[in-house]
Amino acid sequence: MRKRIAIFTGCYIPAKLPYLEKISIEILNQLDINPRYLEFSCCPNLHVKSLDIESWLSIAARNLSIAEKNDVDIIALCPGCSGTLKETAYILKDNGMRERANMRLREIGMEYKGNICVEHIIPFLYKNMEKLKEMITFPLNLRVAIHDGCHIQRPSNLNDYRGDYMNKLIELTGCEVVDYDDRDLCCGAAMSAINQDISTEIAEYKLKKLNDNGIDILCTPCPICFLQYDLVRRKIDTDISVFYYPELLALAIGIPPKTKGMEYSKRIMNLFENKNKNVHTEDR
Amino acid sequence: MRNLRKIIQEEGDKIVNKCYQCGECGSVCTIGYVRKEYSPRKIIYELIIGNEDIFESEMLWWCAGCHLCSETCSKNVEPEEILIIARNYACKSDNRCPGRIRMMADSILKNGAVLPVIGRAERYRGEMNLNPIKKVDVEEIRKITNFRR
Repeated sequence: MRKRIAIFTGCYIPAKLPYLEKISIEILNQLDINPRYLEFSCCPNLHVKSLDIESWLSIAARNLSIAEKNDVDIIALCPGCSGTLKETAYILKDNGMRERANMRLREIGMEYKGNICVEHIIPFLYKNMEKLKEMITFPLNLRVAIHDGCHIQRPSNLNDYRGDYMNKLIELTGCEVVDYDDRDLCCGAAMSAINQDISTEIAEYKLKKLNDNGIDILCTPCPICFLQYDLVRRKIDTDISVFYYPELLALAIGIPPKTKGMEYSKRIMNLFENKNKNVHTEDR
Repeated sequence: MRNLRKIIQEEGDKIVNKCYQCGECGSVCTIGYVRKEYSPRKIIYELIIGNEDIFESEMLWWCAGCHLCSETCSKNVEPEEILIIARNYACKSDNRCPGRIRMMADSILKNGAVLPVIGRAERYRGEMNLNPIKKVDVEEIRKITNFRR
């Protein structure tokens, strides 16, 4: 990856979950990365691909071209975004396909030469594991089930992510990883645009199964999975809280829960009040 | 994915015809967990026999985008990509695109994003000292897409 990084925040995090963005930026800053914000649009998502694949590819190519012009690589907070951009970068390695996309981009004075590296924040953190190890000051000691989500790992020929990444990153925070059946089952969030019942039932299926496992937290690297499980959690009788991975990491590396941004997360405050009374005690 | 380039180059037919209806895709399908009657195999069957009624069915859109079917298919048919091409076709002919998805495209044309950063989110962002989200020149998006009805 290039040294200079742009952050790809996506649609859902800035508009619905800005505290997740704040926490992620805070962690990147601690790794001496101060990411730039560029004029990125929606990545765009899978539904746009279903509507018109050429438009999907053009919008994604525009995003890549903006990064290239600014000589930065991309770190995405959402696996949906990193998935779209990685897939596009792969497709546009083909000279014919790149020329086809560039015919459109030239209409707006842009061009993509095929030179951008896109990474989701989780593989990036995994590759900085040694640095992170030294930063852990408050091991959390919780029982955590992992929901990897789909687009961080598939298509597997484009993603080096393996479930082991999340296992190691969770263990890094001092938590215990609890294994369970159907870890690979999708959260169903994308179906909500078509059929809300199916979407909710898919998420309920996993949460109900997990409810008997005595876990404290369901942790995911994806903000869409996070939103889906956090909404569906309220509909069923469960004590499981749902966390976006950087939130757990932030607590473990000693970013105090009352840091601007983190106090918006009721889950962090609850965890801090009830389950881990030893966390950040001097800060209370 | 591996075949997507080819699919875009209108070779979809040849790929669909590799399907021998084994049902591996259905055995891993996310939707299948809660709707036993559904399998990508069945939709692909309708495409193979050329049953146009499938383009009217909501089932054409039953997909969580998990990509498990494409990873599993032993004939590299890549059901997820085939169904995406079929949905593209449904949207182009008679505009049979689900309303919520049309709304997403409209929002991208208007705001550059599926969700605009306004109201409470915008205020929170300011309170947290987050950088403002850069404005997208939506005229650019308009020029490079086919979204206009």
